[in-house]
Amino acid sequence: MSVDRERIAPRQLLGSILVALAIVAIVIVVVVARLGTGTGENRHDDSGGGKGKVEQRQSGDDGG
Amino acid sequence: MEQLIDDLTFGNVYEVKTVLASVAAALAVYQLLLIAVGYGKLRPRFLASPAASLTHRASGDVIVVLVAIVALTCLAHFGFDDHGRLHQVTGALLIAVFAFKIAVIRWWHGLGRLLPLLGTCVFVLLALTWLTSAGHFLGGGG
Repeated sequence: MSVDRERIAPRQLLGSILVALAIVAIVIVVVVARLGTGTGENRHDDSGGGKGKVEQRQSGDDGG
Repeated sequence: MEQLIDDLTFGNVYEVKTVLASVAAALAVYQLLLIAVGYGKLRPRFLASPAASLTHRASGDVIVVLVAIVALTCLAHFGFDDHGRLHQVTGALLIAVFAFKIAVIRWWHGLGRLLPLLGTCVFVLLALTWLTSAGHFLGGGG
């Protein structure tokens, strides 16, 4: 694959690079938004889930 | 090294790795389109072959940097444990094929006929490596 630099149209080059930058920006936004919704958060959670703990505490309050 | 990565990512190693790998994977898809234009397989009116080829090279350089960062993070932070064996194999193969492709582009021009095959291999391996880690993570697989 040889690149003939003399025949490169600057606008086409700029456009194709801007498309690449747009792809990068869109992917970052989508992935961060996806991570922000909670996907994957449980990966670090070794407690077995927080819901059970809350329920346990509530039942303890009832008994008191 | 592990502490440095933790500090740089503020403890969000998985998340940072996922974002960087996803950007690399998305750019790899764009790379396929660009090189199809570069080789004349696709002929859109708004993009000629030389511009597509040059953008392919520039975008490829970015992917190399991203993959190198993600790979170093993986090795330094997670190492070779028993989990994710497929991910480790595809990742190692990706680095090897990537290095060979760069060598062909930079120095071993006589092997230039292999570039389409090597590029396809890089894309498939990158897709598999992403699917077995970031894609799985984003899909809620944990």
